[in-house]
Amino acid sequence: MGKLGEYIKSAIKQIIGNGYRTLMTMLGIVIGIAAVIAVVALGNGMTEFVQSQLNGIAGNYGIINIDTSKTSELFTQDDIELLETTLTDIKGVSPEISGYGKVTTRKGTYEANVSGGSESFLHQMSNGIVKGQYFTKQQVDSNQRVCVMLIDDARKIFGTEDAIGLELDITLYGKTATYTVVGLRESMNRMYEFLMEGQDYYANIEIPYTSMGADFDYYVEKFYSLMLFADQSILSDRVNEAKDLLTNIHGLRGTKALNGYSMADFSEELDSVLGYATSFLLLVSVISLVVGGIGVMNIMLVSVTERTREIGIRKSIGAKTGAIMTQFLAEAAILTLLGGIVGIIVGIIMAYIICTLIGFKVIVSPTSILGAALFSILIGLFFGLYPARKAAKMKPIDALRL
Amino acid sequence: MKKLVEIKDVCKIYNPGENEVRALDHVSLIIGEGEFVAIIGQSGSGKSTLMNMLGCLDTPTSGKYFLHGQDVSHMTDDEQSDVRNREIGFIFQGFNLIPSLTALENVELPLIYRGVGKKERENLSKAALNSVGLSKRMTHKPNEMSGGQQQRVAIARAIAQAPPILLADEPTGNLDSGSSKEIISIIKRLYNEGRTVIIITHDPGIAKQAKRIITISDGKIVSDMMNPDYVD
Ligand SMILES: Nc1ncnc2c1ncn2[C@@H]1O[C@H](COP(=O)(O)OP(=O)(O)O)[C@@H](O)[C@H]1O
Ligand SMILES: [Mg+2]
Repeated sequence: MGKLGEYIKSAIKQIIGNGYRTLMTMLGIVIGIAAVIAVVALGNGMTEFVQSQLNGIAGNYGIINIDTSKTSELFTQDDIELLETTLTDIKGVSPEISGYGKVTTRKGTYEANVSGGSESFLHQMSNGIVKGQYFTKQQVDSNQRVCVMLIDDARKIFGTEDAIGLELDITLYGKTATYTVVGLRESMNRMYEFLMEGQDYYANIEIPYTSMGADFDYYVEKFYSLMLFADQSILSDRVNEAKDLLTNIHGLRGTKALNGYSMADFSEELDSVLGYATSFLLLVSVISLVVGGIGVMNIMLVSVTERTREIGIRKSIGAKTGAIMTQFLAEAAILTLLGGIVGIIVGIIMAYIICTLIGFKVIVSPTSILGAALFSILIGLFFGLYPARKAAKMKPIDALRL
Repeated sequence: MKKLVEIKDVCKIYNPGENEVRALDHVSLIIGEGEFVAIIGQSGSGKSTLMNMLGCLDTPTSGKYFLHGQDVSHMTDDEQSDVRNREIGFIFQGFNLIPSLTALENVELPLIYRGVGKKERENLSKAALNSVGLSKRMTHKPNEMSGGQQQRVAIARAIAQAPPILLADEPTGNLDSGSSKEIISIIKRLYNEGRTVIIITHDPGIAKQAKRIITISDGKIVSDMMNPDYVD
């Protein structure tokens, strides 16, 4: 152990003594490690960002569809009640019907996407109600003409956020009915704005599906699809359970007529896509590290050649193969570790700058720092091995003669 | 007198085949403990080759080398490193100091390879530098010292770990006459302190100061006699 300490000390001396060359050699490692750190942070930030934004828009819901080419069965009001009583930890089940038409307010007429659901439809978005309240089960059951929209839409179509109690005319398929605003949802996040950018404006209006049926001739006794709302953690399990329940009730076992999917599936898929993207970038940085490693090997080989005489002297006074190996390996490993440390610092700075500019959260995990440090040492050991062996295997007399 | 070094019928042939060089041609030699031997011969006669053989820096093409009665000519590299470290102190013509290390660090090196602890190592090295009169030059690098001083550092390095044999190959070859005298007197003192000294030279003036003079020519020992002019 004492010997190793000596070798490390002399390696550090050697590295310092070679100032300029040391810097140039380290550069490759610095760039490689910095890239790895920055890419990992960027990947983490990107994943976190996309996840939170998507959850922000979509809320946590699953959808169960009936494939009408495989069966004539459809979902009923009874199915909804069954699911809500059997699956006790879900937030609710709602039909979803929608249509594209126009709304007219005191301010003007606008394009509108009208969707009908039950009181559970509240959960289709994660934006909560900030003014008024969502329509209730009672309002749904009694076909009341009430509606809910985003506060942004209220501002746009009424010119005010104080829209509770205001009226608007909804026109779908040539029929018009007057609805009263009872609730406003919180504003959308940046991801939504980004997705909607460049599209023509339309308002999103939510009304009870019963009223939608009564006023605009939608058939609302039976449904092609149901939405199920639950926490993300249990969502995909509950969607599958609901699918099995409905398959049994409608006698559709073996037909594959029901499909179920959830936001959770979607975000897992997205996760893996983002994972691929990060892995690819990581691969590119690792390649740059390998190139850096080859640079280190090159310099070490030059160093071995230059120091042939030194190696001969050391051997002549009793250095064994292992001692020379250790000396050169220590030099290479310390060189790359130094490069790694500088690279980690540069990488963290890069991650902060880039993530902040893009608007991602900066996530530099201790694991990636530790991993990068270890990896840089390994690069030194790996690429130092050949030069070190070459030095250690030299015959003292050949090394001295030069 | 105990046998320290014994070489038996040793040949060293460079470039075997067409233009082969018989640097050593069936050389046999015994040197006892506590001797002071000069090996003299013209340039190219095979002196350095013999010294490399004696110093375990090179292996013979044929023949055997016994050190303390132990066959060292066919040892592994690492075993030979060990023998060099324990048994032999080298003094080379070109000093062979490591330029990036200070005088003290150079002297410490063989002790590091022997695994001597830091404190003891420092004490031994300082004592060795003291004994060659360099106590004020410990922290100097080789290029900050004169040739004579560098050679004294090399001597300190050779004696720091107290090996029984001192091997000097033309130790004054790169020095002016003043420094040469100094180095030779240090070497003589080391002999008087009980070490076995083998000094290789082409300079009859230096050879005359040894107790025994071996003359080598064309890789063969042509004369081996006690020095009639030796004075203690
Ligand atoms: N590595 C070598 N390859 C080929 N020939 C060598 C080598 N080393 C020494 N010789 C030859 O061996 C002979 C003896 O050399 P050397 O022992 O160095 O002589 P000295 O030290 O007496 O001047 C010389 O002819 C020299 O040219
Ligand atoms: Mg010579």
